[in-house]
Amino acid sequence: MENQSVIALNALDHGRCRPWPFLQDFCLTCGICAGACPASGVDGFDPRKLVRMISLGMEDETVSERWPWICTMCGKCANLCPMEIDIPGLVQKIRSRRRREEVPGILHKGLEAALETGNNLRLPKDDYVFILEDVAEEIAAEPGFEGFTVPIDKTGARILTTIHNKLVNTHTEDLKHWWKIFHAAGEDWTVPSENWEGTNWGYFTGDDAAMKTMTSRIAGHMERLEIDTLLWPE
Amino acid sequence: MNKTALIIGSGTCAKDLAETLAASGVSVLVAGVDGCAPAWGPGRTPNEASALLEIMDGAKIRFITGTAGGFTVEFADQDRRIRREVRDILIAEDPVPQVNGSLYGLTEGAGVVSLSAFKSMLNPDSGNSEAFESLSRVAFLTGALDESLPLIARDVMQAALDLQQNKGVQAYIFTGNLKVAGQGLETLSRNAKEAGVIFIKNTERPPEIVQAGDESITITYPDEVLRRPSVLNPDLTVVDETPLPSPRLKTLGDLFELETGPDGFLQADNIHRLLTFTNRKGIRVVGPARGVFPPVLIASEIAHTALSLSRTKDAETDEKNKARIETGKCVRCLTCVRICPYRAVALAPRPVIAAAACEGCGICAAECPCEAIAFDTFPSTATTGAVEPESEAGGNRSGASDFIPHVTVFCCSRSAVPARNMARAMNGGFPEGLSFIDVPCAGAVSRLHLLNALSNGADGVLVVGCHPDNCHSGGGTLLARGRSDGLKMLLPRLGVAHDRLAFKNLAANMGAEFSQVLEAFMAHLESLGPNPMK
Amino acid sequence: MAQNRVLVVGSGIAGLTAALDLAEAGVFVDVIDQYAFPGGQGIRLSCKATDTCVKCGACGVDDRLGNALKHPHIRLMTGSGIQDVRKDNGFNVRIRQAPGFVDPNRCDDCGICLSACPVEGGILQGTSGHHRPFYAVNESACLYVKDKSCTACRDACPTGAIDLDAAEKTESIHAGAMIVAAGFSIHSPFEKPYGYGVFPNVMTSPEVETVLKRRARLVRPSDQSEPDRVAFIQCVGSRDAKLNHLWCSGYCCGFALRTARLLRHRRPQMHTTIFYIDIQTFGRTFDAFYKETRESVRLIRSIPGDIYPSENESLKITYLEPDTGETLQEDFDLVVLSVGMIPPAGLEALSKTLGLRPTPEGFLGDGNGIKPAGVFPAGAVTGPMTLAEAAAGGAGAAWQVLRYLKNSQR
Repeated sequence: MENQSVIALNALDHGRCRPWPFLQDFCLTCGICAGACPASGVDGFDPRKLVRMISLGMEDETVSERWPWICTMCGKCANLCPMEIDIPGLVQKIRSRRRREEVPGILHKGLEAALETGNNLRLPKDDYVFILEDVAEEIAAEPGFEGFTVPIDKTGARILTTIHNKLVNTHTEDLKHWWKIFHAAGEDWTVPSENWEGTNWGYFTGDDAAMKTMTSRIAGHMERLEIDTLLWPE
Repeated sequence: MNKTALIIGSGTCAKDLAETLAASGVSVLVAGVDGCAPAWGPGRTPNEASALLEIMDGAKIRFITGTAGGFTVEFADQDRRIRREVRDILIAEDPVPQVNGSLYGLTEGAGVVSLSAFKSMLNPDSGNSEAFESLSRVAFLTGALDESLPLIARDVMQAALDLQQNKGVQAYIFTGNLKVAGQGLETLSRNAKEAGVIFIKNTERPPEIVQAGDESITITYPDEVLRRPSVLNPDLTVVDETPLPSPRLKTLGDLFELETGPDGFLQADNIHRLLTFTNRKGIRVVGPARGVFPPVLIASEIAHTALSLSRTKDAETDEKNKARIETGKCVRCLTCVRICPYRAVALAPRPVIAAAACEGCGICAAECPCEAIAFDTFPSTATTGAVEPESEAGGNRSGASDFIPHVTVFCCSRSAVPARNMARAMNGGFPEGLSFIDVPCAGAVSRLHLLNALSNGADGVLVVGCHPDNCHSGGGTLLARGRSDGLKMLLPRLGVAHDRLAFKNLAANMGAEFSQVLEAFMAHLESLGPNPMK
Repeated sequence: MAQNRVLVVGSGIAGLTAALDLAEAGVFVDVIDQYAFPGGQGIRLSCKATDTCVKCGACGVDDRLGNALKHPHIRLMTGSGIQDVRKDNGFNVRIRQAPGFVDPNRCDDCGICLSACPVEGGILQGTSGHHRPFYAVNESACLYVKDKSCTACRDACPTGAIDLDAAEKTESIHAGAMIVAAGFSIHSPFEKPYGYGVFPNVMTSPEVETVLKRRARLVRPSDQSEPDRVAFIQCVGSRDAKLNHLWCSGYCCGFALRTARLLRHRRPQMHTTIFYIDIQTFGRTFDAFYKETRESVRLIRSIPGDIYPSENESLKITYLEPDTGETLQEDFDLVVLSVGMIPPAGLEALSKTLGLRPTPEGFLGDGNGIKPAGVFPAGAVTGPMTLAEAAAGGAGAAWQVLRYLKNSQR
């Protein structure tokens, strides 16, 4: 499973990644990152291994492997690393070096859809609003939730929340957990009608420009609707 | 009395020591055991205290007589015999660096150099800068097979950093455990990494290093982080050097009857000998004569030695605690001469104890077959065991029976007595029935002490001494255990259970263990009942 | 006559070694220590000998303390600190000594005060036979000192040895030179992912030393039982750029290997595991000791990343298995954190008073370019080191002081 080919140090340019700002050269090889990582050992992923490969200048090989895409970017490694190495930053950088056609799975396709339509599924606005209102009706039919409605694009609300695409696709029931809590708490909340996508696959695929676009849209909603607090569960 | 110090050494440590002492007003005589004294070469003269510094070049040391405060040293200079009186003897012999090439299966040559040689190459004064132009990769080997040392790791990392930063050559450090315990070493390793030095560490499987006929080197190793085989062909391989004890130390050790450590250096591996003491008063070992230490530590030792030696008043000799041989009883078996760990028994011509060297351990008295050696403050063999036990209200007793065992506990002054004080403080006292007899060393407790204790009324006898390697007298605690073990074999023939006699090793800071040992022993004696010899 | 009097700040191994060397050379030495019991950190260590001594040097501290207490040229003051210093042909130092609440002539070490005290840490216990009395009132925790609200210890003491109204003392000393041997403090690892302070069976190395010293066995804090599976985690708070602790503390590998080996010797059914980065050398026969210890102690070359509570207050640790790259989980009954050394409490203030400048790491280093005349740092206050190195440092400082005194006489 793991790559077993011989590493020829003579053929490597160890200085290649040295200018990167992630402090990877200070690694003590202590392994605390891998000890904390929920994905270490899965399909060949190992944060300590990644740090060392970059330190040795093995950029090409790392970019071409699949295992750097296993990382969930949870950040436990960086939180613990005694040398303050920014491992998630390293992961992002490696991912950004890969050609977009070679980004694994649906990550880039979903991102393209989101950049073009405001959500990973290319779900039209009307369909989206219909689904939200449909779920709201079901909630309103339950005892204690009479009169429940879903506030969309409400100016001046206290909280803006985003929506993960699966919640308007295969897991619509899960919307109810959020919304019932808001209702019971008497919260003043709202969701956007467009560019509502809660995931940011620009972040996951190391596509900084796309990540910025997705984030700016959410920030734009906050400005437009005059809302100070963002609840971004993704 | 002559206050001269004799420094024996042929290298830089002896020189530094000599200059420091002379500068502090101590008269110094410098010589080498085999005639090779350190050379104050042209351009480097001893400092202005040279009136106090005499160098005996070419004269070999033949033997010494006397003791602390008054040694006579005899030198042989070709046909001449020279005798000098000195107060103190200091051994300061530089180490012999063993290049670890053969450890890795390598021969020094164009592709393999020692760390010292490489450091010289790096030295800007050496005029070697072109040598680096042809290099692109240099491998350093330190502790890749056995363990390195902080002292060596410092030199290796410094050299690698210099190479990487100032010569633009890629450095690789191969090691097992990276040694960073020392001032500034962690920062140095970080700086080296920042400059681009690559560290390759192995745990179980060391690198395979092959030196081909054309002197090219191939290093193959499993990278433990990447879990893949890796290969490097360095242009140059630098092997470290292990400082070994100079062979002159063995000669001196035999000549002066000094303890040798397990590593061949001229000091027992015993914390009582810290910093520079040996088993013989008046003879010290400094710096690389006693082990491998960084320069900062050696400087402190030299300072410490200078302080001790520049005392104008001699330490007072406490006559009361010295052994005395009663000539009427002595049969000149020479047991005391042989057994004294401090070499304090001289033949003049009968055995006589040199008070200046005697440390009052009592081993000689315990070993003397004629009971011919006396101490003023020593427990008499005749009365041990007959002394009434102290009655204290503290501690724990199992209370299982009404029988309160009378236990005689021989306590070594260096371990058992402080441990006992700690135990007493922790428990607020001891149970009834204990008689404590303090001895300077467990080795002072003779077979007669033990037997008489049992026949005078003790239900049990316990001897508490220091751990082996922590005995101030070197082997006193081992002698004591040996006597106790031997006696335990005989006791059943006297109708006495062998476990009425026990020997325990403890240290000065083991108060809790002291209490536990006593409790367990007393509980056991309670179950055995009173001593049938009573 | 200041030229023959020296003030030593700190009564650990460095301070005691310096004091003894100076005393033997005829100098009068005042040794002050801010804590209730002398001997520094070294006197709190337990013996790790199995059949033979393992040369940790701890009993050497007891030895020196005993000699210092007997020496006619040495005066030892505990609970004492410097209030101010004036240069005046030497140093005029004003020292404040905490009240002597416990009368050594009446106290018989029964320990009833400790049981009676309602505050945790209100009564302190010694760790050596040279600590007499063996109990002390902790001025900073005592309720009576705070607001006269509690007299439990005084009331319970059967010999009337406790005087809660005892007064502090101040005195001025005129010393020709000073040695700063203030030692170090210990890092408290609350910020690490090991649940220290949350899970009862996670202890630090000094806490283990105290338990071994008092009980001669290692027991779990939760239920006082002896653990069957013990994990040591190395370098906690050392070699850490995040904490700005860029040093190796030097003592912890020796502590872990010696302690694990001792535990296995005393209780062979115990399993001990040491998680480490690089094992440091100690002693003169390290290779042989290391090899022998590895036969009974399991060494794993990675540092655990997480800890979870398990059954019966045990801990589940997750760590990288270096050989296979798997992340494994394993249960331990007790987890010992080998915590690092940090600069001693009060060093900043003391440095300001004396004109010393600590390095960015907070220790005194080699003076950092600033060497106020007549003040000589020694021992671990200059940077993490072992007992033997600190003893040598004390000896070196004593020599420098003697030369300084001689030169300043001219």
